[in-house]
Amino acid sequence: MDTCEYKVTPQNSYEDFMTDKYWAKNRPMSIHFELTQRCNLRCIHCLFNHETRDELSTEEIFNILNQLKEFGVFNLSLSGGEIFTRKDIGEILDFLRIHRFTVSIYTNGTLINASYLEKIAALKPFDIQISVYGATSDVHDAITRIPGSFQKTIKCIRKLLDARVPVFFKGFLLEKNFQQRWQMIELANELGVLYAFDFNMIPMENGDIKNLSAGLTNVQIEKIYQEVAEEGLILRNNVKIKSRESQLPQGGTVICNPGRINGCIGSNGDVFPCPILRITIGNIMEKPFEKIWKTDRIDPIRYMKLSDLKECSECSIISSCNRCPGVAYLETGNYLGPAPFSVCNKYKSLVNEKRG
Amino acid sequence: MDNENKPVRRSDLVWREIDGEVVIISPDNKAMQVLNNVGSRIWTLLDGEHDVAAIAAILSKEYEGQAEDIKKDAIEYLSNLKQLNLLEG
Repeated sequence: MDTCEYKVTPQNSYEDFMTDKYWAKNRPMSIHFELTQRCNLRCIHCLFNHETRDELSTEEIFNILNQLKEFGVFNLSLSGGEIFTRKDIGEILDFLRIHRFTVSIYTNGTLINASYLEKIAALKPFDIQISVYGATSDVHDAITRIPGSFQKTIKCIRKLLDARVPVFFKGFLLEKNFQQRWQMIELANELGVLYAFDFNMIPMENGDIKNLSAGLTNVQIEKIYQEVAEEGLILRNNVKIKSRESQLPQGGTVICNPGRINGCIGSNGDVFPCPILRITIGNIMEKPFEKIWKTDRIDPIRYMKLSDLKECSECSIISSCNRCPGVAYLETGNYLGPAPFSVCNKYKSLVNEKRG
Repeated sequence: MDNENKPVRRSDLVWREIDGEVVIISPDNKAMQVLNNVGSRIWTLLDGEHDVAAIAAILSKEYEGQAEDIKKDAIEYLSNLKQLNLLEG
């Protein structure tokens, strides 16, 4: 039996705690929760086609949140679609204010009214990440395909900052806004918010690759890498074309860790090991989350090794490419194989240009 | 901290009890605290319903040790939590 005759030391080792309680047990620390696939914008690169599908009800979402809390989940990223298209989003934010999580909100900001703003501020989210696709209306709105969206998004950022909500400027670089990347940084600086860019394209959820054509050209990607190295441009995914050796496992170690301490719940209750690797483990309307998560069916995903990637491990550019099992799965149905359209073609061409 | 004081956890903290150990994240500075086993038990009693005397009495039943020593440790622990800004008020 423990004794109360102890030295008062409130802080044990956080690393030990995470290793023992989360990693060793594959207990999810963070869940990406897609509350809807509906969206009021029609971004040219989006992976969802926004078809109406069964959505979880308010009560079902509350029930899931209680399950996640009980299971030990700390971090929630609320995502969509656009979560503020849900009529009950105010109730969900109120629920989260009481049943505490560390919350990140992903939004385009165009639907956040005064009432939602108040609820967001009361929730004290970790951050609110707002997607921005340009430094001017014409460029941003050409990507969202909704006139007026830029003005609404920027106005929302200013209001959130006035309410002291931490805003993150989530830039996404595409062929159409590449020329404005430095103006976007100026805009973020003028607003007084942190920014970072991403440009890694993800095929559509249904496997369609038509959205990939909106991505950066090879020449533009090469320029980006140069600017990251020489001019301090910040990327969200810190992947370098020169070498990715530090990220690649040597021998038998795990490549990435989908389905271990991170996971995803889709808008219809499907549970995935990660937001991109959309292999359904189960549906939360049929089984409690904990039971779904504790399956050993996805152990081959959880413990992927470099040697499992038969084709990629023999590829001459493996140390330079930006491989993602989820992207490979969306493209070909094989998460252990290459992703010819999103990744291979682009990086092979880039590396060959460099070598040439 | 006197006997009638009813300490209560800050309502905006995010905390979880995992296998008997509590970990807490503060939304202000994102600082994380992991409480040890006995500290975690004390934490679960900081609901505003239990005063210091009641907390000490519960600990005395659950853990070995002299009641007075346990109470003294509990008070010291509560002061520590207060200093870490983890309690209301």
